Amino acid sequence: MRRLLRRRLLLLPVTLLGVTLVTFLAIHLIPGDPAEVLAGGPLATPEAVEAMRTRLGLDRPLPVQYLSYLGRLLRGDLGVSLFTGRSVASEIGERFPASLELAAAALLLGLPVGTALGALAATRRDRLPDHLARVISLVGLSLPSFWLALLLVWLFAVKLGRLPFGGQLPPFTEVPRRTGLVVVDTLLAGDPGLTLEALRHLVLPAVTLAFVPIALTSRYTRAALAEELASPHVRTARAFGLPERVVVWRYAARNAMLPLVTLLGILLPALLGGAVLIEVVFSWPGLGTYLLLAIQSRDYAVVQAVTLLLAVLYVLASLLVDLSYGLLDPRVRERG
Amino acid sequence: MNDVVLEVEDLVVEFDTRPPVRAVRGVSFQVRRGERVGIVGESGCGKSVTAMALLGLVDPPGRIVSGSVRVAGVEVVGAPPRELRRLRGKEIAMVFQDPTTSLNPVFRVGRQIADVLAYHGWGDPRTRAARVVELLRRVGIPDPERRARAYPHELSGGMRQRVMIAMAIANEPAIVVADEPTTALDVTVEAQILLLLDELVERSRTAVVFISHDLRVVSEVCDRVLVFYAGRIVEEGDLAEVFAAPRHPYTRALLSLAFSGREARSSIPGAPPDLSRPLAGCPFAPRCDRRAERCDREPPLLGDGGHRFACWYEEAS
Ligand SMILES: Nc1ncnc2c1ncn2[C@@H]1O[C@H](COP(=O)(O)OP(=O)(O)OP(=O)(O)O)[C@@H](O)[C@H]1O
Ligand code: SF4
Ligand SMILES: [Mg+2]
Repeated sequence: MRRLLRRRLLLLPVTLLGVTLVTFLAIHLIPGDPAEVLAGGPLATPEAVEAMRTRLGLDRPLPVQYLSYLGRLLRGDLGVSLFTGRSVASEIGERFPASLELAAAALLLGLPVGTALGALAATRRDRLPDHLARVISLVGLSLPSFWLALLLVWLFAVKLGRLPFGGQLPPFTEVPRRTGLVVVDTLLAGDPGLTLEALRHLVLPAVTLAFVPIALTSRYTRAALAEELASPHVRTARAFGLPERVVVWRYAARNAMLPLVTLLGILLPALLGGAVLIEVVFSWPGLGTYLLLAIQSRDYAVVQAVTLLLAVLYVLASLLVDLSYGLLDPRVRERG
Repeated sequence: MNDVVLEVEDLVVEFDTRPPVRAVRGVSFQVRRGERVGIVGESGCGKSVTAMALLGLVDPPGRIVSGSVRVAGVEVVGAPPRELRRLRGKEIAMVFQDPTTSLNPVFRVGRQIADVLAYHGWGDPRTRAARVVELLRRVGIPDPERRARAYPHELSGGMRQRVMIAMAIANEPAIVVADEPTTALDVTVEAQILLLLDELVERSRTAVVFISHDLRVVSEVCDRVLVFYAGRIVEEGDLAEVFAAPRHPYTRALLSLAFSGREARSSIPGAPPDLSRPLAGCPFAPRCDRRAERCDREPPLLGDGGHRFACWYEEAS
């Protein structure tokens, strides 16, 4: 286990370096010219564009540019938004908590529901829970998320009028910003009424976003658990008279959990960055809307920074996955 | 008669596949306390399916169609799950062929044995831990305190099978069913495991149903032998008697193969019948050199008495 840990940690800087290289190159490979955009768009004179290019350092050789990019990253400098002129790092800092709150809510909702659904489906194959799980995962994976969002908004906000939508709090309400997580901040402000409002605003976007983790975890759980339940060691457990709940939930589930952990590592970064359309539909002030606006306006620095952030989160999440694998599976722990 | 710990009557097991496969076709036998009964026969003749049916554990698409299995006087066929659970691992325990996959890879072996004790209401955690160590010592595992904390992959194949056996005898069951327990092991380890099974039976008066397609192995550990063919018993009797004077042509063929001294594992010419079809006459007829006209028409019945066999030819002689 210790060797596994050491190897993974040693590998981490290399992976991160690779990530920075990719985000750096990607911004140079995608069409469009930041110098032109910043110099005023297609109507800018060639001289103005050239001047802007020099000012941004885009006329230097790529390796030099990359090194200075790395140097800035190391100092925590993610650049300046081409449009607002503010530091990208602080803009991300403002928007990240909203995305985190949404992603966390979707996970907290999606994981238990998805696992339970998948487990029910695996233990009652071809019966009602199984069909239900199949339909839900089909919806979650094939229906475009904004469509689902609109559907839920129409049903719960418009038709039934039970839930609010749009933003994190009712209009014209504010809460002193401490953690940036609105639910937590309202609690810290000692305003439970407002916490309730924040939660009500969270429900629809979170449920919409939760369809993805529900779909994925229920599928994984169903497949993994069904496979475990057919395995020889489960046959042994049954042959020795262990109660079915112990056989399923302890003997089979422990092994079936392993792929689920991997899934978690994929899900968290995916939920953080993948909620773009959902954030837009619900006017959620998170990274998704930020990224979308940046793309629309060719704000290269922002696109680059947000992509880098998501990639780094992805790498860290996979590291955690590998480590938890080691904790859960003695065979991996051994091999180290 | 109350010495009988296992009583199987006219057991029929079918797999609802397409076409349906009738894997066990009316099997009856008894096992007495402390007796060691061997089940032999070619691959696919229904040995394992019968073994699982003894625990009431035929997995779908298989099901017990009819018949009766009584373990320690309790009917298994149609018993409620709670009753089955009480029997399994307590009155009747199973040792599987492949100890590598039959143990749970993510739990320590001591814990897996302790669970078998716990769910049959044996003692409290502390006494169970002591019992686990004692069981591991009894099955010949050196340094049992340490090995109890090992995961299956940290043990050798032979050690793992010893763990399975420890698990099987944990609750001192009336019957241990061992389905080819040494097939996955090499020859020296096989000999050790057989010796171990032998000792355990001597000491505890546990009955053993020992399944193998290796007649030499069966001859070393059993008192009585059942010869399976195409889902039926075709011959049954005391080991010495059956081996010295086999009556069924199939048994004779098996024996002459096993003791011919040939190293290469050859087999009886021809193939067993298709179990998805009804059998009109003697199932062995197509491969039998004594086959007569009657053999194709009427199925020979297993006779009565200590040495039973199902063959028209022998009955007449
Ligand atoms: N899950 C299953 N689905 C369909 N048929 C099955 C299944 N399991 C067993 N059978 C059928 O039952 C028959 C008996 O199988 P069984 O496993 O009892 O044979 P065996 O005597 O133990 O053979 P071996 O020596 O190879 O272990 C086989 O011929 C097979 O066709
Ligand atoms: S009944 Fe006939 S075919 Fe069957 S084993 Fe006896 S002699 Fe052979
Ligand atoms: Mg078998």
